[in-house]
Amino acid sequence: MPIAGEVAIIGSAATRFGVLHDHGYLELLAEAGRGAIADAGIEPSQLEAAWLGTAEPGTAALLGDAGTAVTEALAFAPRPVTRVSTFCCTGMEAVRAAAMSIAAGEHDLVLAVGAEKMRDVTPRGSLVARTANLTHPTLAKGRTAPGQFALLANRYMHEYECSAEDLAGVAVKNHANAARNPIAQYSDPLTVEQVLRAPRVAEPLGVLDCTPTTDGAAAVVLTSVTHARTLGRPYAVIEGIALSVVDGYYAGFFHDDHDYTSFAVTREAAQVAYRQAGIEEPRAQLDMVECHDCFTITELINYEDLGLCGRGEGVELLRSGVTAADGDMPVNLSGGLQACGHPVGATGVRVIKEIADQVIGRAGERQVADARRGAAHTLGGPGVASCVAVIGAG
Amino acid sequence: MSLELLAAATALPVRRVPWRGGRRCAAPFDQDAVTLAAEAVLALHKQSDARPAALLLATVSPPYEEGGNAQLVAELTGLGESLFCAELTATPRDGLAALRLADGLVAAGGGPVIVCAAHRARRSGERDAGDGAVALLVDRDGGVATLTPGPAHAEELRDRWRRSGDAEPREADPSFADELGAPRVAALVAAACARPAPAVVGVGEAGPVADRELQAAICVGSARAGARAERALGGPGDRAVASTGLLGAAHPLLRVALAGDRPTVVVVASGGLGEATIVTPGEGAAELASALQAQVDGGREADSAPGDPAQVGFDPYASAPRAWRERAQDLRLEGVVHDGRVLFPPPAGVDGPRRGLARRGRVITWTRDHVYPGADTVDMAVVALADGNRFYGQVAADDEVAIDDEVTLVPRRLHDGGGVVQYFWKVASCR
Repeated sequence: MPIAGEVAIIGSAATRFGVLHDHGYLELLAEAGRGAIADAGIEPSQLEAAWLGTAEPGTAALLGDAGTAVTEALAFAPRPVTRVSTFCCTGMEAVRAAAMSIAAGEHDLVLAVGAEKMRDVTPRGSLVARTANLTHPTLAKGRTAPGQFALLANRYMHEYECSAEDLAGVAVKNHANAARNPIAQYSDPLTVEQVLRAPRVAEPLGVLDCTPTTDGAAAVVLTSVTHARTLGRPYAVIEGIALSVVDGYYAGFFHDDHDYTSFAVTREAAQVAYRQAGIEEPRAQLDMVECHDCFTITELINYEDLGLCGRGEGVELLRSGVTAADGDMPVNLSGGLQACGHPVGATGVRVIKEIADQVIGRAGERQVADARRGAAHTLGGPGVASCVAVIGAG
Repeated sequence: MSLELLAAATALPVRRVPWRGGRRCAAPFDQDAVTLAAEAVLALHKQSDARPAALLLATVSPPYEEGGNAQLVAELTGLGESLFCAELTATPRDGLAALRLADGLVAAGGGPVIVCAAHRARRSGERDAGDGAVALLVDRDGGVATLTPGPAHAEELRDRWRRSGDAEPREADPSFADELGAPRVAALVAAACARPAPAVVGVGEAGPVADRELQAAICVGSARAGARAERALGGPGDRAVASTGLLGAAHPLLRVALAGDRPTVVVVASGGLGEATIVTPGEGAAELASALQAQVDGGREADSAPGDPAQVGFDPYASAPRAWRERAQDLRLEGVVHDGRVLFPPPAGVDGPRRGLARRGRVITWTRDHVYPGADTVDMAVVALADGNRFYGQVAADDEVAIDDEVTLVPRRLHDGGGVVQYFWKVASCR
């Protein structure tokens, strides 16, 4: 059975995203998992398997290093749990793997949960320190996540009419959206001036161009569309979901197929997911998008790679207000990674939940009128892995 | 016996800081004696296609105290692994001592030989020290000058020493060291060049030039004392030291290369050890000296030497087996040739001949990272190399690049993770 159009999301939940000193990793995982199970209206014992997305267990004393964390947090024994890790695509990959098991007919009800505990250490003590200390002794020395995306920012600004103010506009838009999202890490509005005056992280990116490091978890319960129809509850349908991986972590920036203004891996993943969902004109056929705005530049590039506009036209799409909350194609109504934060393993599940809530019609103040279909996107590596999902109304 | 000087090159850090009314070369934190020596040898490669059979490294500031530096230079410069490598790490005298050893190697049919010396000041007490390296390519014939090992001298005289376990060197009274110490030994050696009698080791070889008018170039551990001694012998004066500082074991080699069209005896003395090399210029010696003098006189003025970064929170993973396994990738930038392209880093499972990446290219993009814990800021750049490949890495310390800049890749030290000095390549401006 093909995956497209055959797997339903019947329950979802997410914890608050933020610096959650009062929540441990297992508590976050349990809260999201139990919430999704309750939202699905099923008993925990009905679940047959689970997939766990955690990217950096090293920041949480190795909790989440194996699927056994779900077993412990949700009393899941003896059912199978598989941990997946695909950089920042980790959460969506957990959903995709879980959906595959439904599509394959192996299981009828499964859980996909993403969780990350990053703030038991300082922001610089989490991913930055891991990137600096644990990566390849020569090929990766000097790399940080913001530094890698800043390379694209500078090249993009060199190639196209794009200014630091334009980049700041992404942060301003998404923080404004987050004011309507109760789980977001930051919900206060920002101004362009604040973004521009913020301490520099990796030029031209300042701290307010960057997603924060965050604690959080999110979960979805999946079943077949056939089964979902029998439950008598609202559900969303995975119309397409694709993971693309184009290179290794260390090798990618040494290869000559990267022009530093685009991510081929997103284009690849979008092409497959759109084909599965029958989407030929994303601007016309999607009602909203949640994309991977880990840094402000990334959102502009995502517009182009996801087919919302042509190459080099992302800035104009932002300036024209098309991607604003009241625009024709709202992007990151949740506040995105910029304001929600980015607990790496949880983010991919959260963005799928966000689109599912929209097409089900329960997105609260963020609800897009008559939303029928949206796309969720994550990008990892950076630029070597991407996952795109098209979620439609059931 | 004698050697022919085929080529000479320097590696002098661009930053020049004030020093005793002149200036000296000051290297940033990512350059040490190995990287400076490697840069000098790489510059030598550009002047000659000769395939050396041996590399002799002299330095009194080796990154590895117990040896293991010369083979790093050989790896970084692509000299291959079937090379005779040796290093002398005792005193500045070793620059010329390496030339004497090269003479023996060449005489035994083991040439051509690269003699390279480098110095990287490590202590604030090294007030006269500049940072830099000099590499000479020598063989039996075909050079621009003849280098003849001259007299040598050895006596018990201790002006600067370090016992096992000492963190810092001990020093005798400067008046003893500068007046009764090395300058006296240097003068003895220089004087021996003018005598036919074999009073000291090697003076017999000096015989054929003893009748000529030799100018004496004196190198000792104090620039002031050296200048005084040289003046007393009627020497030409050190035209390098005021621009570079004293380059340790590299300084006498620099003076050999700068001798120009005058027969010169270059003498170095350190403590009770003295050594001389007699330079007999041939066609092209003056041009070589002129080109090197321009490098000596170049550089960029700065108020102070670059500091070491505070590496808070920086404890990089290291593995000696990995470093050995991937040495061709790290040190020689070698990838695998596959379908006419060089794949770098070499992918697992792809077989093919190895080839090094081009070392020049143009910057595609860059950034200045403020949060990487390895330094206060780290500039990173992506370079489109001349051979169509890419390089992604740090910009050399004390340098800057911008998009579309022409750049070159230079060997530098990255970090000391696990106590192992990790060398790699960085991006340097061609400006």
